[in-house]
Amino acid sequence: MELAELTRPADRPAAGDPADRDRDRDRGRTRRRARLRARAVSFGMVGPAVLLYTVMTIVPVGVAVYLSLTDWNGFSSAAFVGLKNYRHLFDDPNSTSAWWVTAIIAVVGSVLMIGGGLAYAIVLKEKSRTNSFFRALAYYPHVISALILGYLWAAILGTNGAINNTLAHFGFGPVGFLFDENLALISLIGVIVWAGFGFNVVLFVAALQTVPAELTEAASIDGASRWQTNRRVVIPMIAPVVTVATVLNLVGLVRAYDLVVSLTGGGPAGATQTYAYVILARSFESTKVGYATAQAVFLMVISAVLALLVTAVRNRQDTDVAG
Amino acid sequence: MGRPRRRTWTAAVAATMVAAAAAGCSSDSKSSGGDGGQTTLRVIVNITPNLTEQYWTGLFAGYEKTHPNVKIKLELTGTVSAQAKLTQDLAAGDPPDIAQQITPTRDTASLYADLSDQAWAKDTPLVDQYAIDGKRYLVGVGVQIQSLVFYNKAAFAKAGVDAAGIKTLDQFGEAMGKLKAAGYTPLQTAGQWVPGGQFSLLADSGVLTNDPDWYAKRAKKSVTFAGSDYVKYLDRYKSWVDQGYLEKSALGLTYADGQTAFLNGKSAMYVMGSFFVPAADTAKKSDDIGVFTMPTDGAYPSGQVGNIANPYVVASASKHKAAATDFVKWLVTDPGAIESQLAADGNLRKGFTYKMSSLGTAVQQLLDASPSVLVKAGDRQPISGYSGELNKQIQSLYSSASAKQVADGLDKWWNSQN
Amino acid sequence: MAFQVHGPTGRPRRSPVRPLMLGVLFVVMAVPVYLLVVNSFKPQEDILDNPFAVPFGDLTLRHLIDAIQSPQYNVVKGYGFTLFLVVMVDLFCIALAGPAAYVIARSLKRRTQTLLLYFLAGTFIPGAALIIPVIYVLRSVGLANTVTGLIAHDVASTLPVSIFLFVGFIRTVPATIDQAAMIDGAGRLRTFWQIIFPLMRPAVVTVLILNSIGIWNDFVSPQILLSPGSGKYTVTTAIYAGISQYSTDLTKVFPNLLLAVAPVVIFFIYMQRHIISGLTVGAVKG
Repeated sequence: MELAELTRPADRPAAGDPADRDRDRDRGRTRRRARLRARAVSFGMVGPAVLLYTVMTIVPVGVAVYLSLTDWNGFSSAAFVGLKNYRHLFDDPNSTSAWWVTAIIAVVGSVLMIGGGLAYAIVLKEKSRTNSFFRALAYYPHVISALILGYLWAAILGTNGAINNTLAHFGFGPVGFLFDENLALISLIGVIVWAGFGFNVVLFVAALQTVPAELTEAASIDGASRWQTNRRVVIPMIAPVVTVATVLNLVGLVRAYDLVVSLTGGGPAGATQTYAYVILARSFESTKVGYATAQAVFLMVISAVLALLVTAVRNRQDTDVAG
Repeated sequence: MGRPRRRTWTAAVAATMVAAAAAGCSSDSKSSGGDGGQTTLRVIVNITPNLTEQYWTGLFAGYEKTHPNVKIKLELTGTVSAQAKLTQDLAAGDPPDIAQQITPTRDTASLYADLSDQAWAKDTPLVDQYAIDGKRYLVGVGVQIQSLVFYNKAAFAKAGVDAAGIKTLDQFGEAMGKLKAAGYTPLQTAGQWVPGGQFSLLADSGVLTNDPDWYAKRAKKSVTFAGSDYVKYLDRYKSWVDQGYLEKSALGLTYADGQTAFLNGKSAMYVMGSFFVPAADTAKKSDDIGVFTMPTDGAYPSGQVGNIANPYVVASASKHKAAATDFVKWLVTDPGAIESQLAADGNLRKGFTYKMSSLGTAVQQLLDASPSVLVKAGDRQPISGYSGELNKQIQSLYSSASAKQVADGLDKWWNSQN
Repeated sequence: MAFQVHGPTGRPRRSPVRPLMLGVLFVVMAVPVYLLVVNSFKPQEDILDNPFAVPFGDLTLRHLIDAIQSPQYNVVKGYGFTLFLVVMVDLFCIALAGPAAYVIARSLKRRTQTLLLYFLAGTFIPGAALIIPVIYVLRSVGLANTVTGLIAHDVASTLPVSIFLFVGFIRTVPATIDQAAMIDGAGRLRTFWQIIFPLMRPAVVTVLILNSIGIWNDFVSPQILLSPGSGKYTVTTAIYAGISQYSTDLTKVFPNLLLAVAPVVIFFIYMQRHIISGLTVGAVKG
């Protein structure tokens, strides 16, 4: 319909000629009909997408909020319980410990992924066959399902895994990559970083390639070392991209689930239970659907706050990064 | 000319979508059945190392052979438990007709068909222990007992330990010391649910023999973990961890890995239920393995913590309730079906025998000598989520947590659950 | 850019940092793949005793063939169903997102612009955590535990980013092209599919790559929205269901994992540049 509006001035007849008036009225009717039809077509073009998206994405959010206020167990009728489930978020030991685990994963994971991403982006920024090979090598886990990566790493790090079986040959006892509470969390973060930093490398390389060569040359003529050049000139230039990547990493890690299922199963002793894992593997499985949705709503709010941060940052800087 | 064309376009797109959606629909053939007198019953079962998919298919084929109008559709649960799968199906409004290994509670009883009016039900094992307010929803094939310690005969001989002499926890600890000195891992555990499960067998045998209503009292908050004998058992367990009788690295093994390690003779003892027997038989190791009843600091022998084996429920929402009930009746009363299921999972039932290994016979003798079977069902059932929490807490004993902290943690968790 | 290859002011670049870092990168990234491939062809004892070794005498295709022919949780069978999901979701996503993006991109009205924000809000929603109410919704429209329900959910989840990318792209196409088509008597829908859509190839490729990899790797949605009783397994749910059954048997674990990653990795090697740019653009802009 907007196109109809755009084209209207061109075919609008000069008003005033009485002989044209009849024809004018006819045209007006046709135009109105055309406009209605155009509107219907536009509606038909947007409608299905809006409808499906609303039903499958927005309505569930509403349903989640509703269910979170009930004691629904998944089958019998649900009774309204007010904010009880939300209060329970803070006195349920599993929920609070999962928040710590999730926060540690998100913060430490993001820092390492950004740091590793930057370091390798600087090393791999120039265009060459070798560099694109290494970039692809760093990137490939990103296209593989996190669930499967987790199983692969479990076969490497587990008590009967490749590393511990090899160590056993040299008389060393098994290392608790997956059975020691602290080491298991470190292993989980390690695998997350391993799987995710390549994405940052590619992102940062694209940004670094837009940094004008004259800038770095000028800096080195002034006697700056490469480290200084990178720190004082290059990194500030790509700061907006680093910010975007940070928040993307944070939002992604707050939702960590698949890898937890396959690598550690939340253990040992719940040391690697993330929030998403607690929702699906603890609350949902023990038929506490109302409570599980309260946890989900809470996670969604946290995610939204972080995601809003992305949008805010992006809107402010509006950098076209990888396009 | 534009108009008809446009309509054709819209229609074409719409038609494609409808067709595709329909194709999607028709590819999920549902259970409703019914046509041509054919009834399809959907059954969800737990798949275990003993009760494999092939096992179930074979068992159900026996019924299909004599009931040509009935088709049994096995629904696998993947790695989720039958309970989780049922929750998922119920939430989706698509429950199966029959579920194995689901225990109804007072809250969920309405979901299941009341089988009290079925005359055959009253003679099935433990049926009244599992009844809720006098109504029988759950019927089973046999009894599993779990207060058992399996041991490697060669390891005991080498360490000079006599299994018959282990009646108290002190004697148990002493034996573990000797076994360790002889180069064995004294007590086998594993990751997943195993630590919590084993601790439960150890502690419940003592605590519930003294007070079968302990969990009912805990639910009413008249007792606490921190104020009960559980602390003593936690202390013991912790000290065994500290002395290396239980290996922390085992937490990185799966249940099946742990079982394999014990069968391969790497460890000397294994606390597990009677369903371990068929695994030992399959591995042709049952003659090398002995069994004794759980040591305790109270009455000896203690009651056997037990549970109903292969229990079935019929969903009250089932469209084929009569057919489903008839199938369940066959599962729990047909001699052939019973013997097959008892043998497959090492279960026991009075009046039924099957060809047992020496180990199976030894387990049967322990059951015969036991003063009672302690069943955690009905009001005596812990609240939902308890076994998961207990397991998590027991695993924390392998790190810095103390027995006191774990007992407090259990109380705190229990109290936070409504 | 070409000048940069020589580094700033020709200072000698003999620093050991680069080779060291690349060496570490190579080892860390390549070893898991090496272990996966090598151990897929070894008997259990060799996997346990010498996971890193290549025992040329003992290598066998047997375990891989067993995995391909496995009657239970067959990953290769999972390919078919997963591919079906991918194709359906891609088709519906393009069919729905394309026209919608066109209308949004060409509209100057505030109301239509709000629609774009409405779609973007979807990216805030953590999919896995919100799957429980989706079951509830699917149940009330009668699509619980059905493939149709899963496809509907998956398509909806791809719409926000797809529409966003399409809108951005269509806005770079001059509106005069549409007007020319309109003057020739083409309606909007036809203008879009016949004139604009062919011009959108780069954006469509990006969206297809983004969606295909996302759906192929998805685990939570098929696991929760599709009852295991349906007997339909995607690659991920087949691995998940299978691994508890055969976890001690490494001659099953490795070949099955290899089969699960092989198609994606091959696809990645062939389409590397498209995939890397597509996924990166999708994540940053979406």
